[in-house]
Order: sequence, then structure tokens, then C-alpha cells
Amino acid sequence: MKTSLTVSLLGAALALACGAPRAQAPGAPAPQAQPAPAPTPGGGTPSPDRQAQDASGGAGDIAQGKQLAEQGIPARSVAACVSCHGAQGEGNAAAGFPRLAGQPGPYLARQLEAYADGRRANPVMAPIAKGMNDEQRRAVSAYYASLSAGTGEDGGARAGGGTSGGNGAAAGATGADAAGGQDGSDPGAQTGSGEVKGDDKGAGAAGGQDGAGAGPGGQRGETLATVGDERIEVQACANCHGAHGAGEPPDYPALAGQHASYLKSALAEFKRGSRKTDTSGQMPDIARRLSNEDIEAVTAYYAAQVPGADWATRREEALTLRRRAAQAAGQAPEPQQPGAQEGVPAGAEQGAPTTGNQGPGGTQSNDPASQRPAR
Amino acid sequence: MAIRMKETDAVLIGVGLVGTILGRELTRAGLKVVGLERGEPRSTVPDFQGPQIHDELRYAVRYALMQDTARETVTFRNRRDQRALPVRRWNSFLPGTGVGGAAVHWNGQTYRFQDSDFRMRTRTEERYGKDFLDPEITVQDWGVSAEDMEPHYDRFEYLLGVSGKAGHLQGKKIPGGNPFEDSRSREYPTPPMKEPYGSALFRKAAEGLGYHPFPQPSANLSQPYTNPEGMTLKTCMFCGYCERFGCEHYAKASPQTVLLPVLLKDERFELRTNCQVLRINLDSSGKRATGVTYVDGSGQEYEQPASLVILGGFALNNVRMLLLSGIGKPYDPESGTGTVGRNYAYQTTSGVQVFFDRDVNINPFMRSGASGTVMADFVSDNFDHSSLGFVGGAYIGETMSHGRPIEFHPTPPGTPAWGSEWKKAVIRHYNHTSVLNIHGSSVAVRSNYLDLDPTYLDAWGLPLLRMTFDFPENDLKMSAYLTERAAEIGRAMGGRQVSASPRKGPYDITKYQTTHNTGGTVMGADPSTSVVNPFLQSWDVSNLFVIGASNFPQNASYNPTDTVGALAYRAAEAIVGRYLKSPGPLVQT
Repeated sequence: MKTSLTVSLLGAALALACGAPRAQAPGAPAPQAQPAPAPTPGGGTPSPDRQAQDASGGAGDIAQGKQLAEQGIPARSVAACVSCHGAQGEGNAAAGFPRLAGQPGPYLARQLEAYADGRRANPVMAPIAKGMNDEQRRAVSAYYASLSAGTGEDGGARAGGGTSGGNGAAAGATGADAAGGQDGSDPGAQTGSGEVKGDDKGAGAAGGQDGAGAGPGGQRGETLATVGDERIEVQACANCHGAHGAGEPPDYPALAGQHASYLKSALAEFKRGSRKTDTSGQMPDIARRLSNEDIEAVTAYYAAQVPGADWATRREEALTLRRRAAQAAGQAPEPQQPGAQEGVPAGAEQGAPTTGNQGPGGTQSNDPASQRPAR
Repeated sequence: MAIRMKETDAVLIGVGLVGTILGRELTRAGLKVVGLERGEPRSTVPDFQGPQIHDELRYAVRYALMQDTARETVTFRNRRDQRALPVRRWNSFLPGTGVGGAAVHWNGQTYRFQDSDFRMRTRTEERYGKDFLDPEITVQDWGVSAEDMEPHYDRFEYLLGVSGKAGHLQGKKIPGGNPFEDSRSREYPTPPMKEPYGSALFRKAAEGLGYHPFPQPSANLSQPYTNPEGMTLKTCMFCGYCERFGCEHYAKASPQTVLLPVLLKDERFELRTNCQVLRINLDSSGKRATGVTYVDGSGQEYEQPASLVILGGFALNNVRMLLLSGIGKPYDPESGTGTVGRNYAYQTTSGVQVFFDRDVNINPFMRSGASGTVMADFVSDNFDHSSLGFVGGAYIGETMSHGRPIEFHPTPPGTPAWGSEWKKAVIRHYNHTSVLNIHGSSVAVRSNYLDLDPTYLDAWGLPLLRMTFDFPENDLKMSAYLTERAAEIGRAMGGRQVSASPRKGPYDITKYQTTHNTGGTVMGADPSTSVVNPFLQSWDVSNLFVIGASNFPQNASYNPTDTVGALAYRAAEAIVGRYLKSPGPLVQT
């Protein structure tokens, strides 16, 4: 678990460094990001730091976003977000309004774009999204990304995690069975609605060996989320949405702690094709393969999961890693000037050099020690 | 004492790509078929699901999906005057095992061989004269043409849903595709994959130098696709865990995602896993197979009688099975006679690393096994060899398949191999390095061959396969010439430093290169130089068909899987359309 988190944070750091992790269109190499000073998340002005930019063009201004969220834009009939999504972005389960707190900012900004341009058809959200300009959408997205997913009365039933590094943000936890400052980096150790969640969701591990019985969503919900179902050719949600629905920023939203009512309507939109935000076609295909019972089960499962670390925290951790890496790399010698240099003949795995005893990365030294097979 | 099973119409040795295709075609023709697979059963769910399937240590380093060398391996030597020793840990190549075989852990690069490959000896002699080929080089014609193969390539590619762009469609050249390919009857089933940034840099540089880059044909799909069998594949998510892994997203074509579930529903088909076939049994004449003998997971031995035997394992295992069963005449390198084990060939790969400035972000982690841009200007006989002193060629491309944390650590030459300086260099270069792949052909020569090892035995007491192989001079010349062409492209891509590593001898089996082992049961029109006829039927035992990359008389520039799949469909068509109506040799000698 730890290893995979480190890897995913590293991946997040790189993703932040390089823009959204998507292949670029043929013939259109993307503009390259310039080296830039360390970003200041939560700073008061739009950051010039392109390293922290998301696909929609830049990190938003949190303070501006907070104002928008609380007051709306009356001149353009943009209602205050808080009126539906709650004071802390906790959403509203009864009305099917999603929790926004702690979701990746770039993900939220893209949803607003989609509401504005019709890829998500929603009579309430469309005029609101259209009433905001790009900068305002990014700002309000950045604000909600900065809130802890575990806050707010609605989330309190389960909340508690979602922070790391002991920076005190766990104060938002109000839930009776909150896991008491559990580090979001170890979701496997957190408790949900009373049932123990093992950290190994392997194929064979899904059996209900704990006497407490299945949690919300039952065995079926957990199986779909963590293992998938070969019979209907649906892969596990966890492949993209992370272990226990923690999300995979910046592209994939967190599902943990999201209201089942909202998740159901989102799947229904994918199923009938009215939500066109997934150009890969994965979500529409998956939604079409799920029965109504499956959707009930898997949404109940995710609604009961403890949200992981919020986006802002994860982003800060990733940027810290990136700063450290940039510092270390800064001391590395630059490549020599153009000119072919012969390396040691070695393997290339379908084009990619491998390391250790397998390729150029580990065998370029003339040091005989490096020629020994790695253990 | 072997338990004798009820006789069946056909038995498959191996349920990978070939076994699955033949199983489907034969059951569809009404035959009862038993599939014997030595490895485990497995399917997309639950076996390939995340996060477990992204365990790089388990799958990429410890080879969880590969043949278990503690039970069965090969012995190796470069030359006949050396003693071969067993390979304890795979490195140079990675034979798969288990249901789906190597088509589970492949990258999905799906190329057709060219007509000039199928007619290699004839064409070389026609174009460059009879004396051009060194007498040690034993390349030969396949006994088929690109035109013969086209319908089968087409069918196989539509089974997989290959994402690509035609360059030669019904006789017309199409801009943006591969202008050197033989005419294809239809466009690819799905459009090309998105082009990664490093590949775009390659494309521009190659175009600038007058070459003809095109998107690599990929069996990791660019969009959802439902194949003629009714199986639906989904879109590749560019996760970078293809080769050595199964695909969690139903996005990579493999038997599990394109055909096997359909076959498993057919009651005429029976799959038996953990069943190690020991030999093909022959009747007293030695000309007819009566079935196979195998051992199950508990060690119990069985005899499975069958009217038809399909040997569809990995190339090396096909050769070994014939040698263990005493079918065909083993190759003798001294006299050059005999056919089984003859013309073993490999693939001559090399790499060029292009190190960029810090503001060029390559993002190696967002790749797919078969994403990328390649060019065929130096493939096969697409260029003039007359002054070059070698035959064959390579495709050159930017086809990086991953940036995985354990395996991908590009550093420029001169960087220490460990320690803090190495770490700094990896951080500096990880995201700013692009790698060009030179994927070259491999000629067959008299001295490279496969036979049974005189010393070492497998877990069942049977001799291991012995490989005697070194890179032929021809191929090292080819690699030197084409690696330099790739380095020129690397410089044109704007690399700050370009490091070219042409392939050098001797062949080192402890360095990963590729799992494209070919030959040993080669196909051809002449029984004195081939093991099977052009329909993959054994010349010696007419109710035995041997299908796989072991059929290649020599290896071409491109990856082998498309050709293996097409050969499987070609053999199936011959069996169903001709052999079953009148069992016996399909080609008279």
C-alpha cells in the first residue's frame, strides 16, 4: 500500500509538472512548461506557476473561489454554490447534489466546462457554468479542492481521515465513528461504517469472512468496486478511481464518501449517453453493463467509504516531492552537446531502455561491478 | 499407468492465441475439441485487476506470467564447441504460460510481414544476384505470398480490432499510413492510437529527413470495438503496464478479450488446465498421431486419443515437442540435413536514447504497449542493399511502452551505475528522454539451431531444449547501419545528446531483448528444408498441424504476432475446408 501510494504521488507530481496525463494530438506537440518557482497553494493571487496548471489552463484563485461559492454572481444570475452544495461543499444526499469538497480541482473545472458547453446536460448547472468565465470556474474549483472531504455535517457520519502530515486539518471531523486522525495515506486501515476493510482486495479476498457481514452495498458492491465482474466484462472501479475510491488526481474523481444518489444519477447519465465527458468510452460502456441492482450496490458501497486525503493536500505532497526532485536533479550534470555517443549495447524493451541487468540504464558504466547481474 | 481418456476429434497442445483460434474454428466445424494447457486458467476479472496487476516487481521483474524455469527451461550456448547451461532466470526472452499464453503479456504491436519477406531468397537473388547471400545464410521462401496471407491477416486484425491507418488500400496509396505495405482489402478496424509527444517529435524529424512515418498498428485499442465474434474491447487508458502484464481494462486484445469466452461456452470444447503434454503419440507406422500423453497437476498421467493434433505452443516448445515425440528428422548442423530445429532465428533489436533539455517533457509513463510512430523505409527490402553487404532491415520508431519506476531509468553514457550521482541523473533525465527502437530482422544461418540437450532434464525427466545461437555477421552489419540512421533522426529531434547502441555480438542471453524467437519447425514448399507444408501440416504426420512463430523460415523486421494469428486462420481454413473432407496430406510430395 505504501509503495503504491509513493508511486502514485510521484505520478501525481509528474502529472502536475507536465499537464494532464493525456496523449497529445497528432501533429500538435503541446507547448512545453517552463521551469518555475515552487507554487504557493492557497495563495491570494492566480499563480503564474505553470507547473501547477491543470488542463483547463491554470490553478484557480482560492480566495476568489470562496467568494464565488458563497455569494455567486448575482449580476449574471449565478447562484451561490453553497445554496445547494452546502457550506463546506458537502453536498446534499437527499437532493442528489454531489459532494465537491476535496475533489481534484482540474476535475471540477472540467465538469464546469462540460456543463457550459453541453457535454453534461443539466438544466440547473448549465446556466451557472455558462455564467462564469474560465478564470472563475478555475477559482471555484480550486476552492472546493482545498476543502477537506471529511468536513461538513453530511460527511460527518464517516469522516475523520483525509489529512496527512499532522497539519491539524482533521479538526473538521465530526463523525461519531471517525477514525481519529487516520492518515489518508493508509486507507486500508480506516474503518468505514463499522466494518473492517482489509487492505488486500485480491480476487480471493473478497469473501465475507468477517462475521459482521457485508457493509453498505453488500458483497456485490464491494466486488464490483474492487474486483469487477468477468461475467459482464466490467473491470474494478479501483483501477482508475483508486483504492477505496480515493480518486486518482488530477483526472479521476474520488468516489469515497460521495452521495449514492449523485453517483446513481451520474451512472444513469453515462448509461443513456447524455454525459459526454469520457472520450475513452469506458464509463458509458461500464454503466451500460451494470444492472440497476449493480448500480444500487456499488454506489452504496462508495457512499460508505471514508474519503481519502483531499486534493489540495495530495497536490501539496506531490509538489513537495517535485521540488525535492528538481533540487536533486539540479545538481546533475547536463548532457553533452549534440553528437552521437555510443552506449553499451544493451536491451531496449520495445524502445524503452530498462535498468538493472536488463538495459542501458544500469549497464553503461565500465565498472565491472555494474555488469554483474542484479539480484 | 496412464489413464486412457475418451477419444476426441481434436486435441490442442497449448491454449494460447493459436489454440484458441483453432479451438473456435474446429468446434464451429462440429468437432469435439479438448484443449490442454500446461498453466493456470485466468481471466481479466479477477486475475488482471488493479492495483495488483501494476505490481511491477511481481510481474515485470519476477515474471509472474512466464514459464516456470524451475520446471522447464532451455539450455543455451553461443557455439557448438561450448557446453550449454540451463537458463535459470529468463532475461533475453520471456516465454509465457497459462491460458492465453504470451498473447496475455504482449505489447500489442500488430504488423503484417511483406511479400518481400515471404519470398526472401527468391527476391534477394533476383534483385542482387545469386552470389549476394553468404552460403552460411539459409534464408528461404515461405511457400506463401502476401496475397495468400491477406484474407487471414484481415480476419485476425478484425478479431483483435487493431487500431491503425492503412497506407495501401485496395491498390491505392493513402497518405499517413505505411506506404510500403502490401495492399490491404480494408482499412484497420479502429483508428490509430493518440500520438504521444516523443512520437510526434520523431514523426516531424523523420518527415524532415524525407522518411515516411506512420502510426504503429496497435492491439491496444483507440476506441471501443465489437469484433465479429461478438466480443467487445474497450479503450486503452495509456497506463503503461502492457508488456509483462495482463490488461485490467479489456483494452488489449488477448484470447481472453477477443475469443476465449465464446469458445468456453461451446459444449464441444473442453479446457483442461495444469496439463503438461509429454509427447505426441504415433501409431506403429510412425506416420499417424494417435493422440497425446499428458500429466495433470497431481502427477497423474493420461493418454488423450485424438484424430487430429494441433501443436500451438510457444515457438521453442513446438520444436521441443516434435523432438521429444520423434517426429521429423532432427537438424544436423554438420551436414546441414534434417529439419526439426533448423533455421532458429531471433530479432536484432537496438536502441537510441535521445536526451533532451529540461523543458522538453516526454511523459514516458503515459504510454501504451503499442502506441508510437514508426517508419518502414528500412524494413525488409524497401531500400537498396546492393552496396550495404547485408540483407534484411528494421523498422525504426519512437515506441516507448512505459516509464515504470523499477525498470525505466534512462541516464546518459558516463553516468555511474549506482549511487547518488546515478540518482541525480535519473531524476534529471526521467521525463526528458525519448528512446528510438530499431526492430530488426534476423537471418537464419547454418550454425544457429535447436536440439535436445544431452545433459539437462525437466521436472518430468525429459531432455530440455538446447539453443545454439549467436548473432550472424549479416545482422550485426544491419544493426550498425540502421542504428546510425536512427541516431540521425534522434539528432534531428532536437536531442541535446544522442546515445546509439547498435547490437553487438556475442548474443547475451542475460539481457532482455525481445520474446520473438522463431523457426525450428519452419514452413515451406520443400520437405527437405521444412517441417510443415504451407498449410502448417507436418510433412511426416499428416494429422498433426504445427502452428506458431516456429513456422517462420527466418524472422522479418516486424513483430511476429499478426503473422502467427494469420497463419492460424490459414491453417484452420485448410483443415476445415479441405482436410476434414479428405484427411491426408494437403500437399503431395
